[in-house]
Amino acid sequence: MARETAECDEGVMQIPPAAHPTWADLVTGKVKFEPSFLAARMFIVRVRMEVGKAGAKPELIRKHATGLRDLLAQNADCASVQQDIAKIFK
Amino acid sequence: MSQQLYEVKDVEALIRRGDGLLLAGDESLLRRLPRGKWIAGTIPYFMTEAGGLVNRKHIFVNELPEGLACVGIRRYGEEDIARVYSDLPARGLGIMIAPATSKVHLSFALNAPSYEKFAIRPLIGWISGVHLSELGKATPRVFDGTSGEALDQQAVVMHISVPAGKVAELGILNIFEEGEGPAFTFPANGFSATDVEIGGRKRNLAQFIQETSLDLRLPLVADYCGAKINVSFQAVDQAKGEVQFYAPVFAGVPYHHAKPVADYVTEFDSNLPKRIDQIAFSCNCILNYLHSGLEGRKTGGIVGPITFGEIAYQLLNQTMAYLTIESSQA
Repeated sequence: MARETAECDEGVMQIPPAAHPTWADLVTGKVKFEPSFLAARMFIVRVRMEVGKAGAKPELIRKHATGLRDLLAQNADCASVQQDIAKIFK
Repeated sequence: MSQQLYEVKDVEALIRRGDGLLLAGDESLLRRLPRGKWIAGTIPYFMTEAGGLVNRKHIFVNELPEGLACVGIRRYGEEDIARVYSDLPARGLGIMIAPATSKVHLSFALNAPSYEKFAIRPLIGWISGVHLSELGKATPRVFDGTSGEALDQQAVVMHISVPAGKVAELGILNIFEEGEGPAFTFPANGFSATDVEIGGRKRNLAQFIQETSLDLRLPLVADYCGAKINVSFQAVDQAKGEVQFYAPVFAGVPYHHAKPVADYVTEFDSNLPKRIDQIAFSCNCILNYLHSGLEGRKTGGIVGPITFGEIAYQLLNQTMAYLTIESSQA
């Protein structure tokens, strides 16, 4: 799993690390963004429900920020993911 | 890659060739097939190049596109379906079929978004069913081709490898949009509801439906970060004040009753994906087939089984789900 993520990072597209604050902002909804990548849309809605219920504890937000980053990194060769990354971190 | 109806003898020949096959058809036909690299679900409704039709004499065959290969077939019950994403092969995808109303169907519908590694790799598929005249009499089943067994409480998942230079991506085509009426929010996740918040006021949903003559052919629609996700109405029990759905509602998600659609096929055609020649698999919902009169009509050349539920990462309703295989952008 880690090797695949690293391959994505070393490829054409650089994906910022999970500690980048934008990932957490996407998870909490602070950043309003509608991804093209269907899996990211479903993931974000699900984790926002969870984060909302649990009172937005920092460790939960970190966990889901890492999950979202992994989801995009693992699918980094999809055109829609590349478009999303470019828009999120423009 | 072929996606069409075949005689049983021709399906037998394809199976003996050793290729991975995704099949759909009448249970009595599927029971005649030899063992091999195939999975199947029961259903007699199909979208074909000739249009929507009912057929109990042929099997719908979806071959895998060139370069893709079946690398395994797994079965899951209610107790282990949570592993479905974790088990998917690296650089691969899964195609899943689950029997309608089975425990594994209901569990996946309610819990898939919370599974470990949810959506980390593509998982597409459908819910098997029966002829509508046999609802409650016949049992929806799936088949594990490696043993030929018919299953009514387990899902089957074909693991498929994707070659270097190619990428699999899932899409959905949902012509329904949120209407301008009040938001419905539910107190709990589930396939049924009694009291809900409608426009910020607690109301009994069954009573509201009766009072407003809500058109139950139109689903509730939620906005999932831009993706429109439906929950379709199954039944209303006014005596119990309870409404049942074909897919679960989720607490905290605002839903709206869908806007009416003038003509499904016209809307469908105007929203077709750009590269339909790259669609490797698709399925569409029995409710679209029924309510939109798809029998004898074509949907932009897109073919596949008509289903009791669609899977694109999670369970969907009244939606076409599709898989494309394209050249990798990396």
